[in-house]
Amino acid sequence: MQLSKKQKGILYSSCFIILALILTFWSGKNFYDFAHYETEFAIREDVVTRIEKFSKYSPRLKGTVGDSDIYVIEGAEPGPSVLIIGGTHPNEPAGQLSSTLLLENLTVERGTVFIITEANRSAYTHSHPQEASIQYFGIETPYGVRTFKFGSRATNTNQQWPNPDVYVHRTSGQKLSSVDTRNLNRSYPGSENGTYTERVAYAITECIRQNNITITIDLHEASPEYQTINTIVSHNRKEALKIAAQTTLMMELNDVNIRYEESPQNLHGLTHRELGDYTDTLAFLLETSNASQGKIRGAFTEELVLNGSDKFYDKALEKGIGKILYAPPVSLDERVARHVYTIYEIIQAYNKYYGTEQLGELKVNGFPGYQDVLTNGIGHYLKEIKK
Amino acid sequence: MKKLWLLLGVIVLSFALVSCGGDDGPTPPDEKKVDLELAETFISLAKDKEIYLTTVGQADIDIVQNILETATELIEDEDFVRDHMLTANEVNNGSIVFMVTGTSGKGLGAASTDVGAETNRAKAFADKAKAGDITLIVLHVGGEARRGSMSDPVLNAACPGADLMLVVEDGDKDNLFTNFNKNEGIPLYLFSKATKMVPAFAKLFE
Repeated sequence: MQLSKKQKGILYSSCFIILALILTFWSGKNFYDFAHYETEFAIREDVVTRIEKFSKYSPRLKGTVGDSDIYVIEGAEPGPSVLIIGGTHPNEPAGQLSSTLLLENLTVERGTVFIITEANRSAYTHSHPQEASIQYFGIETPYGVRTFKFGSRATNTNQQWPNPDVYVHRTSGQKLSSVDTRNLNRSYPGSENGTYTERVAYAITECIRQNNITITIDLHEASPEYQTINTIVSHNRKEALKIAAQTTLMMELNDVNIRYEESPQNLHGLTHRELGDYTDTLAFLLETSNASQGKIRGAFTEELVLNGSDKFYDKALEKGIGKILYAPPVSLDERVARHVYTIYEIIQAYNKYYGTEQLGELKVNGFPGYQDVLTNGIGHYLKEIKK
Repeated sequence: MKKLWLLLGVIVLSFALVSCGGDDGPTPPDEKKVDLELAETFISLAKDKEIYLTTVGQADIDIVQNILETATELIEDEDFVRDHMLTANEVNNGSIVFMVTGTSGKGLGAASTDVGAETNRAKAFADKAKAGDITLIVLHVGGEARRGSMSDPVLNAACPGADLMLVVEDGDKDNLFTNFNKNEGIPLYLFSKATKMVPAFAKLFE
């Protein structure tokens, strides 16, 4: 049958429309599935005392994607407390993996441990535009592969949009870049009725304030060419600086290079500044070296996230232009080992200097050693998810 | 005969120059001796003096304070003064100043100062020490991370006035401290780690 020119046009147009619909549906489903995928955590019912929601502290988050869990592990005796914040930036996977490892391994004799594994859940529902990042990565465990999400640094625009031309930090009035309006770690101390991200920040601030949490440790990563990596950033309260210095010394003694920096008083919205200013907690932020955030990396692959290996970084180091790197890229195992070990030493330093004071010591067990995590891998320490 | 003597003279002179050259040049890293005990000269150097602890570059002062307190059981405000922004004018003659060097961008921000002002502060201490009014101990514990364009101006201002330099060896990869030692005769002790400085601090207060 001979088709007329008009009929051919209709046929081709229809084919293109159908193809476009298929592609739209396929990509839409991909986005939808990623946004709705729930990362699972192994909750030891005999160890985890209770699970609180962010909405307990910031009521307007109730029923929203940002209503994250706070896992509470209480010891038999009351004492000091520590809050470990993972998942502030879902493109910095060592934070979530470290908090997950601790959630699934720690036991508390004295005091209380609070753990957040997905501080900004909205940021776990999308990935950063134009980065071509992977959506998921797997960790081998004795019980099979555990899947984790690789999300964005910022809250999803589904929850907070549009960005202002200039983001003005609410309590300080400091002007920050527009995109930082959706950055949880530029939104502290937050606001109950502020933007979505500010409400999330407010939940964490209030959790610390209402529970009078002694130590807060926020887990981050940065690109190898960023100066503040392998670093503890400490609030400038004297006790916090003393702990940061002692932690640095002990880690150096055990051949784990790290340094500490004092939180600048004119850099607002970050945990190490605002949580120390607005609550009584001793606030720390930890950074490791993550090649997948780097500017000179090549293709974004699961291998890059897990092993930190990238041929462009390798070449930069080989050619001697690696001086731009403050630390070489390392594996996720090393970054998690470093975070976990730093948290351990912070608690030891607290006990050394302040364990004899009114609250006494914080006694927490179950930390795997730095070398153990390197040798066995993170997966060795992750528990089975029981349905 | 005259030529023979001249030849012999040249040979002897050449040997002498080679020997001198060996001493003057920077010490290769593999020849650096680390974690040595302080010489007798420095034992009790800090005893019975007013003690000040400061930082030029606003980094690592808490690390040195932890080492100082571990080694000596001295107590801040009772036994020594700690001041981030201490100036040479505030220090009494006859005092000993522990000056922690190395620059932190975040630290400068926290103290609302800059590299230029810190360099001037360091130089004022160095001048006072050169005049013999104070004893100046320059410390560098931050390794390679506390070297470079932000740290080196402060170090170059502080080291010429030092009575003693205590340095973690990683910060001396380019021999900056070694060269101050070789060229200006400033005593230098290198340590593999900051914690290895504890016995040296104990000796200073023995």
